[in-house]
Amino acid sequence: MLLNFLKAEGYRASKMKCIWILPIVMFFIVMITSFVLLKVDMLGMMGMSREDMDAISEQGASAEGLEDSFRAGFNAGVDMGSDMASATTGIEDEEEEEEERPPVKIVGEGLLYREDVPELFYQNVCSLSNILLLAIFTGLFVGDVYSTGVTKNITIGNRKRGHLFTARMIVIAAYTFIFHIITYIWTLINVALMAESVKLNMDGAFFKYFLFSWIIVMAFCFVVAAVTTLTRSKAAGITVGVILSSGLLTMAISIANMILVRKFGLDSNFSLADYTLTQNLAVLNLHSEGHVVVRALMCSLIYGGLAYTAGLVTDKKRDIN
Amino acid sequence: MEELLLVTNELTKKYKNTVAVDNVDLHIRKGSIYGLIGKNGAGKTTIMKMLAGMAVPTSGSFEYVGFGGDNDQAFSRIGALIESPALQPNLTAFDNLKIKCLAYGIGDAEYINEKLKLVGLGNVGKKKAGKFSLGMKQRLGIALALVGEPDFLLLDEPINGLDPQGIVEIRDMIAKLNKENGITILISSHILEELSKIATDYAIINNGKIIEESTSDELKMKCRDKIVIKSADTSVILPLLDEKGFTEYQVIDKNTVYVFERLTDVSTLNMEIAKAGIPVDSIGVVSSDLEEYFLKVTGTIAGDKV
Repeated sequence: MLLNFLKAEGYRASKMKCIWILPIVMFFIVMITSFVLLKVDMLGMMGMSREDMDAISEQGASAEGLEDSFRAGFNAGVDMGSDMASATTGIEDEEEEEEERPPVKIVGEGLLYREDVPELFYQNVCSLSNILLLAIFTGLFVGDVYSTGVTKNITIGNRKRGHLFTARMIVIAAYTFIFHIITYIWTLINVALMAESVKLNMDGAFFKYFLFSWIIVMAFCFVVAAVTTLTRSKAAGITVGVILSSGLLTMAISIANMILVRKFGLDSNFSLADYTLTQNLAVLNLHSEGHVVVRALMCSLIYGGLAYTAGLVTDKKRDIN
Repeated sequence: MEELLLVTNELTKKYKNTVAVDNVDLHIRKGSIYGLIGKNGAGKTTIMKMLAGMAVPTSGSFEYVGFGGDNDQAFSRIGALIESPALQPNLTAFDNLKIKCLAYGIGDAEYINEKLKLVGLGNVGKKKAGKFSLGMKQRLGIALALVGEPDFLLLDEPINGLDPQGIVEIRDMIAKLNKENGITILISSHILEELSKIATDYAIINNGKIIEESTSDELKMKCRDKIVIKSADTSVILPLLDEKGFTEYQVIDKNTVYVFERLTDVSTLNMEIAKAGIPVDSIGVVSSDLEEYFLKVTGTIAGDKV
């Protein structure tokens, strides 16, 4: 029975226009992100060269390195200021300055110009634009059930309706996985078009990141599906999904965090945001430490599990209208 | 007695403080077309929803005795069109049917085309269901209900929105499904005259309660033209009726007798009763159709929407 429902729900999903439109939108988002990271010469705009950056990288994130980088930027600002001043004081100074400073250009080598595909894929995933689009898909897919009453056509008892709900969740999980692959393919294409070279680097770290980030994305979509099921409204599901993925709740979470720290005497380093799916997706990277990965997976399991259970119980108990 | 397909036992559905269905007992025979008659909000749809597994009864039960008694198994042998057809407006008729077919483990395109032809939608092509007329949607809803070759069909107002020709076609189709395929059908309709043309059994429901359950013949008897004699004591009239050769009559109660034959002899009969010295309160020919009868038994005042 579950397999039949899976086929039916899969077919229904395949007939939704958004299933094709959203990947196209994602392509443009990836293209813009890739352009900014691969082709916009941030260093040049700050008056720094790649050599300066490499020097900073060699010193690591030490106080000395940071200070030097700050100085480099500060001096560039000062130079620009003195440049303007020299226009009134003398031509000789101007010529001297022009020789020392590289010309400012916007398009050139971006910050990740020499990086590999997984690094750019990570940048595209942690930007949360994929979950924003997947929230729209989930809201439409689940909400359609209630706006059209399509489950009325399938005469099964409420007790067995859980199979239908489970099939729906599997389709969502499958689509999020496909969307993740599509995001990777779009990244690959853009790297091929804009980066120095295509470095696939499909090592263990990449596959782990791919899997863990997909689990977080899937859990997020389950939450959107649960909201849509509970409210029987696609608008409610999509709205919640968009609010969560666009960071509109940041302020509320910060306030809640402050209250928790003050009222319950929690450690000042405690961050409530660390226990949200979106923050976990933003923080998780290719080289995350073990505790970050465990926290992300635990959050996904709890949120996804609760959302699935809430939706399942509601769907089984509630009469069909 | 004919074999029963479905029996309900004090079936009740409450929504907060409203009792939508109140201790309903239905007895649906295998192979029958069972008409459920009731005005808006009487509880017809709620009964159907419970029988299709879409709503859980608050109390009471129902048993598909004709299917062996396991309701969960029985649901797979039921087709339903309840309230408006549940269609995906952005999909074609074919795609709408395919979703249900896949859920039922049927993947054959020919099967879907057959169902479309059966309901007269064989030539709709790629037209989206959202652009269908009300009648076409209703037909597609029936086609959806027929997927899986059900043995029991629940049709809630299936001829709503259809033009006269459409009504005739759907009526013929329902009769054909019943006769040729042996499908038992539970059907509700506001158009009682249409229902009376196909239904073999009836239940009249009002405010969630079943007022009357009868066969078509019994109902026709109640609705047919007749001489109604009202008297203080009808027992003295009966020998006179026998003497005058009347055989088709029925004593309704102590004061009322219905005579179903020789309706044109009403004045003669009146004279004979008077001659015999029997006091008569009233005598006359009364004719009523199903609609009038329904209004009478449900106590619906004139002007109420049925």
